[in-house]
Amino acid sequence: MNEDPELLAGFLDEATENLSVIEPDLLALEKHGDGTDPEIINRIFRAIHSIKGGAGFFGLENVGRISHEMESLLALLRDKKIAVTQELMDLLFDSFDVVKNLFADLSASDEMDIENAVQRVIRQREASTGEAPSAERMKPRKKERAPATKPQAKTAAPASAKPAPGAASSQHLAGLIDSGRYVYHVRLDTEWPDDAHRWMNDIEHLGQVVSPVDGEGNSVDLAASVDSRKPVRFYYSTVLDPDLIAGALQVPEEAVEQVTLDTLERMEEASRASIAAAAAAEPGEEPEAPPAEETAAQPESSALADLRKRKMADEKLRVSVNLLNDLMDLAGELVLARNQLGEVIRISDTGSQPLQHAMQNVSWVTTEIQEKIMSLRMQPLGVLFSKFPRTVRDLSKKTGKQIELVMKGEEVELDKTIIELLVDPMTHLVRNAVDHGIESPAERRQSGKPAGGQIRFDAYHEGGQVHIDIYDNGKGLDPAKIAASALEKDLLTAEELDSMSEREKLRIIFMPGFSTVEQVSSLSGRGVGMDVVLKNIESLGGSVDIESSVGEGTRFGLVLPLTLAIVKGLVFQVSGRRFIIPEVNIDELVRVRVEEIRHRVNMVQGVQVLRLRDRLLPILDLARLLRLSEGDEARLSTDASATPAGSNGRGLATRERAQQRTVQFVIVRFGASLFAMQVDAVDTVDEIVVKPLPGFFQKMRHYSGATVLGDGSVSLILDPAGMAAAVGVREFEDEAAEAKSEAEKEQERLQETVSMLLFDNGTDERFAMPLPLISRIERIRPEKIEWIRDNPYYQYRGEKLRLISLHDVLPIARPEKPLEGEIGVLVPKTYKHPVGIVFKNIIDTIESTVELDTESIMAPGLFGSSVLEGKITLMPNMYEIFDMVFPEPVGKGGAGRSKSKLKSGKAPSLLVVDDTPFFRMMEKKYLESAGFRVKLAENGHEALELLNKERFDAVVLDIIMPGMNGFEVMSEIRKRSNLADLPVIAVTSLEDRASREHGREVGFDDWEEKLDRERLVEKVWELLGVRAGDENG
Amino acid sequence: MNEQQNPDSSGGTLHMVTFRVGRSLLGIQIELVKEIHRMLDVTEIPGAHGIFKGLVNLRGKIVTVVDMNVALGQEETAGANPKLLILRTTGELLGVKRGDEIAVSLGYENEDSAGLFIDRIEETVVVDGDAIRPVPPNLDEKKKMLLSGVIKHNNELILLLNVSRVIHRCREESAVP
Repeated sequence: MNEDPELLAGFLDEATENLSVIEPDLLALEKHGDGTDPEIINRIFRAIHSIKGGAGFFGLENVGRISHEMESLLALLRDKKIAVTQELMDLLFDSFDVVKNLFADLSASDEMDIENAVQRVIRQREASTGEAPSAERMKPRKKERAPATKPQAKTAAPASAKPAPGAASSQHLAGLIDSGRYVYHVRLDTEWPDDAHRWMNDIEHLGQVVSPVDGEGNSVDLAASVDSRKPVRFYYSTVLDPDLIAGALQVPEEAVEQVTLDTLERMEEASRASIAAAAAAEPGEEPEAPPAEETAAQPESSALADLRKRKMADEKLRVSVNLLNDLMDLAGELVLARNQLGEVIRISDTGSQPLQHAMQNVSWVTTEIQEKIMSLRMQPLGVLFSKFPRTVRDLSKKTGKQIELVMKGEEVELDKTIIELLVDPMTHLVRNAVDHGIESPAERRQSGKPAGGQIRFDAYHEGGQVHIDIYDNGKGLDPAKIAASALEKDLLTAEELDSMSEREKLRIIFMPGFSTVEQVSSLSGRGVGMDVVLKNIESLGGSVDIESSVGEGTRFGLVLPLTLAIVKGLVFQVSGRRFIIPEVNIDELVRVRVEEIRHRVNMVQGVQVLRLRDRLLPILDLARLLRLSEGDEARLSTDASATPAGSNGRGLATRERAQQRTVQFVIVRFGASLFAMQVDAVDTVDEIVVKPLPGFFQKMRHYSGATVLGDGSVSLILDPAGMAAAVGVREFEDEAAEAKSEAEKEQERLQETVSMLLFDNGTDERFAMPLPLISRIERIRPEKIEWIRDNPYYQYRGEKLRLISLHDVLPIARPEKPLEGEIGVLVPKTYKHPVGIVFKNIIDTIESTVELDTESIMAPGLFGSSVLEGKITLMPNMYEIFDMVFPEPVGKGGAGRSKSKLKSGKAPSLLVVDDTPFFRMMEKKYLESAGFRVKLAENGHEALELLNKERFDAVVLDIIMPGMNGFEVMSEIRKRSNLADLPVIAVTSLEDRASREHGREVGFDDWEEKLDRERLVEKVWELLGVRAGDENG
Repeated sequence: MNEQQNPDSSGGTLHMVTFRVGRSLLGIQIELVKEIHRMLDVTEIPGAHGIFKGLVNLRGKIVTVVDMNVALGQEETAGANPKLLILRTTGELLGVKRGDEIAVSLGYENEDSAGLFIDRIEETVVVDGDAIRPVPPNLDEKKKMLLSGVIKHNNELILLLNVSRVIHRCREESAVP
């Protein structure tokens, strides 16, 4: 066997191409039978013919044998000497498979036993034509087979009208030329090489001798002719180019003439002319045309013309895949280098125009080169799809089902590597569709469907990616059954299944362990499993979608990136490190103002979500996922804003960060799912060369590769699918209203809400007051009001309540009529004087967060206004109002009960820390009304600052705050030796034990509920009393 | 994989590159060393095993850095001027004279570009294959596993590093997600 690996590889390539092109033709032949377009049959014939030729050249015995027999059979078919039968088709399919198998391992092909296959073909041929086996059983040798000396010998090649240079059909020579070899015509009639035998050896190593003939055109043995120095002519096919050929053949230059397709055509015409002449003349007469120019008349002249046309139209080049890969790598390096250059220019900041222009040029050309090289690797999906008609046909037969395969979008192109890697997953999906999707004809008829089912491929571009949809109109996937199966297999618990949407249930089939032995039939083979399909697709950077309708069918949607190697990526920072996500996975960037966080971020089913327009997106905490522990971790509390992680050592002080007004999210999309990822900063979108992660890290699902950034550092590329899977991020169904109100309720429960009493004053204006500040609400009859010194009083339980009408103290509308009927009185909790606020009707009591607006509507006696239940509501400040009504000199303190003052005699000074303006105000007011001096701080940092500057007797500290939360502030306070003993009370809505415990641990002296003024004041005095006690000794 | 006690069964002379990791003096065959580079900025791989220091960019190529201290079960040391010992991949080894022999005798399977984080490079020594002694049993288990033998040189003991096993250990550690 001719072992030249390169030539062999070329042959293998070509043959494989031929074989792959054959299948659709065979299928067409099967479909249309005798009515098939003859061109199709010709193509099949030519394919096998060229395989046969090559086999001869390379000395592949088995390949030669079977292809020879098949060629004969196909010749009969082509000549319409036999009919197309199912038997014949099956035989052809099987025989082509044998050939494919031989090609699968060429070097061992001669060891394989193909006797049966060969015999089958022979038998079929005999049976079809009733002829005795041809005497032309050929054993391929290095030389082209010796032609029959008698022109009438029955061969696959048509009979030659006259002895041409052997049976070298111009078609064969054309085929050789087309495959990239040179063909020469060599004439030895004046000089002969010495040592014929050695010479034959030599030239047979370099090429193939075709049809040696003597002066008369009779076939001769070349070696013998050379030895005996007799004139001889032959064709020679080789890869050697014209410069080398004469020397290689050791013959004078004049003896060699290159044969091109043109030459062949001319020869063909000439011989046709001479055949006509010969027909007119007597048979046996030698025509005048020089034999070197002749060739046997061929009905395949059309084939020759065909080849020429193809050759012109295609203008394609065979390129070694290794070379292509090298080019790809270099293109990648070029992009990196270009990025680096760009970085350097940016940094050097010369602002030089020519430099900028030059850089732009380089950049543009680099992009073009990269794109063009990338497109070299692009192949049409047809290449991938082409194997499936056969697969579906075979599987249909095996399962007794009727299945049609329809394909669309074969021209869509994808990177070669991706296509190669798609074969397995697609095969599995198709087999699945046949096995479990399409029902048997009987079943289908029963359900009123047509007996035949359909599998459809639809490929298209969308959103910068390639989509391949695989549809079947079979029985569809039933989420309920899948869920039941998952439960049985202990893959999920009942609770988990309960909370899953239909869509999520369908995706259970991708869980490892789902496909069990029963599911995996022998056809789907190898227990590949859907989980492997998903993994394969995701490893390419793609994703799989499922859609299904019970009884109607299923769609698997594969979404794939256009290319593997160079993608646009978003570079961002988390915890001081840079990461990249492919731009194609980025939906958008969202900034949320710190103040709005509590509204935009909720907890739903135990997962933090971001509200983005109408959707609820799970929030992925990258820092936690990757266990990054640099400096301050970004922690997103559900009710407060979060500070992005500190960038230790990079120049930005933590405090600056704390005052950042917005939080940034990157909305990441993979497949049809979205999630939000909080990031510290977004750098840029860059073209990055995706380098595969070293093998050690292949199992790390969060990363899909690595790259070198413009500054030379390595950055990891995140894999959205992997990240999401690792975190168990699930999709949240947009079952809108329900989910939303659920979320809203949750949100409100967890946030600092206040119970408010909404009431009116007999006019359209609405008012609200925090319920916790109200001791009781009474309804009284106006007649019961006593007037003392022009002030209304009401006798209640032994007390005379001074009644205050809001319209007397606030710039609000007076009720038109004097209060009639029952009126309401709000009695506040412990105020130094018995007092009550009059109102007309209670509108409602609500639990709500209060966004206090102290700007639009403001007046003494008001906290401000707020929008509650969609309406503007005034918030009267009871204590301010009371102070207005009962003006007292400042400094006299004490709540209802008198408490000892501090030794110093001054009213104690308190620091109240709370991020909510409303609560701050409230607490200040009622603490002041209880006799304390109050200073306010908005957040932990401010508080610590104030503590540094001034002396306080106690601190009232909120827990849930942005930046530093109460626990952290507490810890900080305790760290300072001068503050170690400072009484600190937590005032918060967190009531759970864990929080209390934690509070105790970090040093809180007490833990109080928000807005319980009485208790708070009591506790403060208590703590101060202790201290005072200490002071006293 | 291979229970090689003698890196070169022919017992001939070996050229060894020696280097320090912590207090250990280690040596590997020179054919396995592609180059010795100054330490580059390492990008950590969050979530990866501690045996991997991270990734570096070596002229555009991404190289995995193995933390030899972790590999040997030693304490982290702060060398003043650490270096990166870049190993040849199997492919690169085969391109070297006698590379195939060495690859086979060592059972060397290193597909990815990897480098060892070392504290200091010492001299290249020529040793006699026959002088190689088995690993002393009193050494720490973890360390023992990675050595293929020891040899005395200038009154110091050079621990011969079995790079194949180092790579193997790396692969094992990374198999756990």
